[in-house]
This record gives sequence, structure tokens and C-alpha cells, in this order.
Amino acid sequence: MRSRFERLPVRRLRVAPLALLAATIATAALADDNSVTSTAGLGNAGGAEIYGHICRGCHMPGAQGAAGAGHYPKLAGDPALVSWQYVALTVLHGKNGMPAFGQQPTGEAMDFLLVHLSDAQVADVVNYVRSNFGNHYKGSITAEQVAALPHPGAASPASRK
Amino acid sequence: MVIACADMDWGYDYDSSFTPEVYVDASYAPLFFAPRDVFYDIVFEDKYTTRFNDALVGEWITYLKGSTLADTQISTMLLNDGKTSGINDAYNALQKKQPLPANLAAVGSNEKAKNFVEFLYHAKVIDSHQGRQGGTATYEDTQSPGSRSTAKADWCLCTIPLPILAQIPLNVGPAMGAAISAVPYASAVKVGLQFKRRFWEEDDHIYGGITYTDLPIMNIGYPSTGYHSGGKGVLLAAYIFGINAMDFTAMPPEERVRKAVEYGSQIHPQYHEEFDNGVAMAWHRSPFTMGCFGMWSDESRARHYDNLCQIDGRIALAGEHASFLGGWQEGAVTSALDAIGRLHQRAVAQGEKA
Repeated sequence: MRSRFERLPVRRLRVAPLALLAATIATAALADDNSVTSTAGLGNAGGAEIYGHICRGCHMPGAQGAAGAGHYPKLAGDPALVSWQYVALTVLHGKNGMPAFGQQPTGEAMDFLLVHLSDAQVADVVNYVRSNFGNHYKGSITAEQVAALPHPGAASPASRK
Repeated sequence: MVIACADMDWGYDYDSSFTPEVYVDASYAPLFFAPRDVFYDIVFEDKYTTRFNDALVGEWITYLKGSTLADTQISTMLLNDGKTSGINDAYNALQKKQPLPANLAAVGSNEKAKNFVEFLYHAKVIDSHQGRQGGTATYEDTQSPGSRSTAKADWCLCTIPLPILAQIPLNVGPAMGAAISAVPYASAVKVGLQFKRRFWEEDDHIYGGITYTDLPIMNIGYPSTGYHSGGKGVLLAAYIFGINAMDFTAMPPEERVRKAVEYGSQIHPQYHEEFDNGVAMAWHRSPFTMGCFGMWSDESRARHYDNLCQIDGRIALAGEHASFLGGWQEGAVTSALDAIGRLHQRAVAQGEKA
């Protein structure tokens, strides 16, 4: 991983404050949508923006899922969404190639590639998918409830014997 | 034995996540359990395989009371990993009416013990795609949907990208199974734009190379050949990773092209006038990879990498995902050479048994 980015001629995302400001201004200048593609934009994104700009890439518009050699789960009408813990844990830990959005980036390469969502954002996007796309699960969850779940890199409760 | 289904998985067609109450031994994993699944209360459970051992061995010892098997023999057979002499050898010896392994000689004289050995052996091999003598792959010809064919071989060197492989029923142990499911794939997008003329050369004297930018397109790559060749020219107008790639992936392809023109025009105002056509590729929409390349962290390397690269029975994996040169062809090639080398050593060492 590291070697890839030592050799790939790509700029690091951690830019100087001035460059970051320039990027924010540039993004704001063309903001014809709720772009999350800046550090500031991602930080302010709520459930709908997170689904629209991140999840939708794979789970598709309308959360219809997709099938190729493998498949992306259809979240619309997915009975597993009855468990908010299941949805939140999947967002936090990822699954089968899906990134772990609860992972804190460590090191340059991961800073560059990983997208970290706060507990409040995880709660937001969980609430969003459980109450849209024909899903009508009751009970919004809070950042505190997400914070109480195991996060990637933290000691797993499974180690309790 | 209690078997309870706690399937919280989205892939009802693919796997189930029975609770591990049935568990005694890692070699049972293909029967009951999809690694890295969510369990009630336990959450992600990767290392549960010993939790119920004492209770289960105890149940069998109770059941087999009065047979010729000593408690330690029952325990050994149940917990044996299948590689050392134990249940497989005892079963084969019984089938061939040959002498039993010395430590299990007592089995031969008792019907209850013999039945137990047969039961245990079959419980382990049922539904096995990967037998002791080789592997079988079932595949569909996409030109004739629904068709099923099989291929058999002594060994299987599998190079299927992990997000796909994780969704294919595969008879490997829980360690490799967990590793296959534990590697997220990087998001990446490229956009190619065709322009009516090679303005970057004609106007700006740019000959090859790359423009790095804070804009979401991240990179513009200029062709290193055909300078001033006249006519239309193509730029790699966006080469994107991370959050920007996820965002571009979520757009319809036409919008990706439109955005690449919009952002790129801030660097090259000629874009507006000279744009001719464009194409966009998002790796997470590639149906046979579902992502660009495997993203390892130090933590996941430590926990899963060796398990991913080990030879599991008759199966070994190769590809950039099974290398330290992630995302590069070099990693894929060196991984393949390494895996083939290890398979060769194993086959030679096993002689005729291979």
C-alpha cells in the first residue's frame, strides 16, 4: 500500500491550510449541489448527502443494489435493516470490500484513501437508509448509540470470554 | 446439539450465519458459519471457535459413556484440526479395514465408537467443494445464463478479486474466509476527455506529464506521444481516489464527464471551446472487481495477511491483493510466482498423494 503511493504521482490530501482554503473556495464557487468532496464539505454532510455522495456509488440510486460477478446489496426493503445495530456496524466496519467508515486513517496512504465518518454521521446515514427507499423502520438513533458500538481498531467485545 | 439460525446477512443466497453453538473445530466452518458475520450481542465474531468446545466435548463424552473411547480420545477427535492423525485416519482405516492409528485402536472393537467416527467424518466433509484430492469449481457461461459447468483440478490458484470471492461459496477454513472478507477495496475513477485539438501543446507548451490539483479531479495526465499530431486529442482529465472518487462513482457517467470539464476548465479555459467527447470509469462499477485494489492497513495486515496467503487445503490465492505491492501489476505477478512456487513445493513434497 505504502509503496503504491510512494510511486504513484498523486498529491497527498493533507494539504497546507492555504491550499485547503483555496480548495474550499473553488468547491464553493461551483457548488451546484451539496458537494462533500472537500474536507469541510464532508464534515458538514448529513445522512442524505452521505448516501448521495458516498453510498450511492455502489448501492445505487434508490438503494436498488446491483449485480455483476458479485452483488451490491439492495437496501430498499432489506429486512436486515430492522436492526439498526447491524446497519451501523456494517457502516463502521465495512464488509466484503466495503470500506470501514469508522476506521481512523493512519499514515499517509490511508489518509488519502479512507473516508472517516463521525459517530453522528453514521447515526445520520443509518437513520436515512432506514427511513427512505420504502423503508419505514421506527426509531432514530443517536451519535451516543453509535459511539457505544465497537469501532474498528478497538478491542472487540468478542474477546470477552 | 442445538442449531439456531441468526442470519443477519444480506446474502441469503450465499451464506448463512448459524450461531456457533454447533462449533467444535475450525474444520467445521464451511458447514455452519460465514466468518465476519454479525451475531446477536457478540457483534463481529472472528475468533469464537473454541468458545463452546468444553460444553460440546462434554456432551459427546456423556453420550459415548460405556464405549471403548477414553475421554481424551473423544476430545482429540473432536478438536483435531484434520491435519494430524485423528478422525480422518480412523475413518479411512475403518473403511479399508486396516489397522487403526495406535491412539484410536480401541475404536475398532465398539459399534458405538465406530458410528461416532463415521458420523464425525461425514459431518466434516459434507458439501465440500474442496476435497482431499483436489478442487472443483462450478461456473456459469454468461452467454447462456443459468448454465452450470464444473472444472476439476488437483490444485486451485484463485485470482478472483476479494469483493467477488467473498460472495462465492468457498470451502476454506475460517481464517482464510475471514481474511477474504476483511479487505476493503479502494475507490478510483478515471475520466478521459477528447478535445477538438491538442491545445495544451499548441497553446501552453505542455508535453506529457501531470497537473496535480486540489480540485476533485485531482490529476490531469497529458499524452506523451503524438505531439502536435493535429486533429483531436485525449487527456486523462481526472484520476481520482478517496472521497472524491466515491462522489464521482455516485454520479451518472454523463455527469462525471460534465464535472471533469467543469473543474478542468478552471485550469485550462480552452476546455469550454474545445471539448468534443468523454468517457468515465469508476472501479466500483466494474462488475468483476467491485473496486480498484485491496486496501490493507497495518492492523489488517497483522491480523489477516498471512491467513489470506496460506495454502488452504487445495486452494491458494494470488493477485495484487495477496502482495505487498497493492494495486500494481508487479504485486499480482510476484504474488502469482510466489503462490505457484509454494504449491509446487507442496505437491513435490506430497509425492504421489498430490
